[in-house]
Amino acid sequence: MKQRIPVEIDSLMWTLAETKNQAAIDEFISRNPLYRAQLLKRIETVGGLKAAKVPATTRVQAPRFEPLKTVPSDPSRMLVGIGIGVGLMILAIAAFVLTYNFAPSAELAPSKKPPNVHATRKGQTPEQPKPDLTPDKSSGTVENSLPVENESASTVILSIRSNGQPLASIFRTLESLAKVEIISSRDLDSKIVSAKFSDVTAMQALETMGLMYGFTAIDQHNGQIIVLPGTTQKGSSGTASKNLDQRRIGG
Amino acid sequence: MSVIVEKAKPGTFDEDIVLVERFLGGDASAFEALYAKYHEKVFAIARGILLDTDEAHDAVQEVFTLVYRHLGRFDKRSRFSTWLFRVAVNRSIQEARKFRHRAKTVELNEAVANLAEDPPESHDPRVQIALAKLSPNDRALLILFYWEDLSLQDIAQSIGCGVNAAKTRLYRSRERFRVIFEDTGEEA
Repeated sequence: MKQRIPVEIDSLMWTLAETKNQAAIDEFISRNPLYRAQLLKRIETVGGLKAAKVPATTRVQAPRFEPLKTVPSDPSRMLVGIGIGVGLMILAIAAFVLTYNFAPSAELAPSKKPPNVHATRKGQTPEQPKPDLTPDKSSGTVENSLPVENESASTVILSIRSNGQPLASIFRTLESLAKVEIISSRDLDSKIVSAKFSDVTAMQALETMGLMYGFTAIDQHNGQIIVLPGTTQKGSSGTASKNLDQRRIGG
Repeated sequence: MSVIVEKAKPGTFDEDIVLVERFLGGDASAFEALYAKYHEKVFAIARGILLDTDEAHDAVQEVFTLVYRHLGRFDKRSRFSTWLFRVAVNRSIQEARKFRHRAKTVELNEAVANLAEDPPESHDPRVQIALAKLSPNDRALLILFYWEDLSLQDIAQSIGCGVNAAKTRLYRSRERFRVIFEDTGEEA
C-alpha cells in the first residue's frame, strides 16, 4: 500500500519540480529524506512533459491559408438536438398513451343507450347530465354524470318503513337509498301513504305501492323512474324498453 | 491546496489588435500575418490534444477558417492570442471526442509509432502513452501550461473558466498524468 503524502509536502514537491531550483531541492531532500523518491518522480514527470513539446512542434511549415468552404459542425450539438427531439417525442407519446388509457372511462365511453326522449320534467331537458359525486356503496364505484345504463333501481336492496307520510317523502327516501331519481306528478306527491318494506328493490317497493295507491312506476334504466297516476291492466309498473319493444313490434 | 507555479504575465499591449482592426477594415494581408504568427502554436495545441499530425493539420485549417469568418465577434476584452487559443482548444477537443471511439481501438504502440516521423532526440515515449490515456480536456490543460507556457489567467480564458477553477483542473490533470506516467514506467 502506497504511503499517503501530506498535501503541503505534495504541493512543495510540485513547486520544486516546476522550478527545478537545485538548492531548494537539496534542502528539501535533507529535511524530508523519505520523500526523495517522490520528488524525483515529480521532477521526471514535469521534465518529460515539457520535453514532449519538441517533437510535436518542429518542422511544421504553415501552408498557405485558404478558408475552408465548410467547417464540420459540432457533432455533440447535433446529438444534443437529436436527443431533445427524441425526448420530446417520447414525452408526447407517453402523454397520449396515459391520456388514452388511464383517463376516467365515463368521460370517454359513449352512452350505451340512445337518448331517451320520454323522461321529461318541467324545466329539465331530456337526458340532462345529473352530477352525482357520491360513491355507490353497493357496487363500490362512483356514479358518473353521463346517462349510462343504471340498474340500481332493480339491484339495490333496501328496507323502508313509513306511517302516514306524503308519497313525495317516500320517493325522496327511495331516491337517496337506491341512487335514482323519481319523477312524479304533484297530485301523487301529496298523497298520504303508509309503507313497510324489507329487503326489496326500489322498483319492487314502487310496484307494490302503485297497486295499493293507484300509480304506475316506469324504470327508464338511466337512473330515472317515472311515476304516473293510474295503473295498467298488467299491473302497476312498466319499463321504457318494454314500451319501445311494443312500439317496434306494433309498427 | 494545489500549487501551480504562476507564470509572469506578458505586457498588456496587444499588437495583434492592430492586425485584427486592419483585417476587419478590409486588409486581407493582416490575416495572413496573424496566420503566419500563430500557425505553429495552434498546430502544437491541436497536435497535443489530438495526438495525430494529420488530424492536427485539418483542425488548424478549421480553426483559422472559423477565426477568419468570425473575427468580428472578437470583443477585444482579452488578447487575440487567448481568444484564438480558446477556439483552437474547443475545436481540437471537439475533434478528439469525435474520434474518441476510434482512438480507443488504436494500439498505444501505434500512437507512439506515429511520432517516428518527428525527431526522436528528446521525447520520452511514456509521455505520449500517458497523454494518449488522458482525456482531451486534461491534455489541453497540460499543453497550454507546459508547452505553450500560458499563464493561469490565459488558460482560464482559453478554456472558459475562472482562474481558481483552471488551477484546480490543471492540478487534477497533472495528477492524473503523473499516475499514468509512473504506472507506464513500472510496466516498462
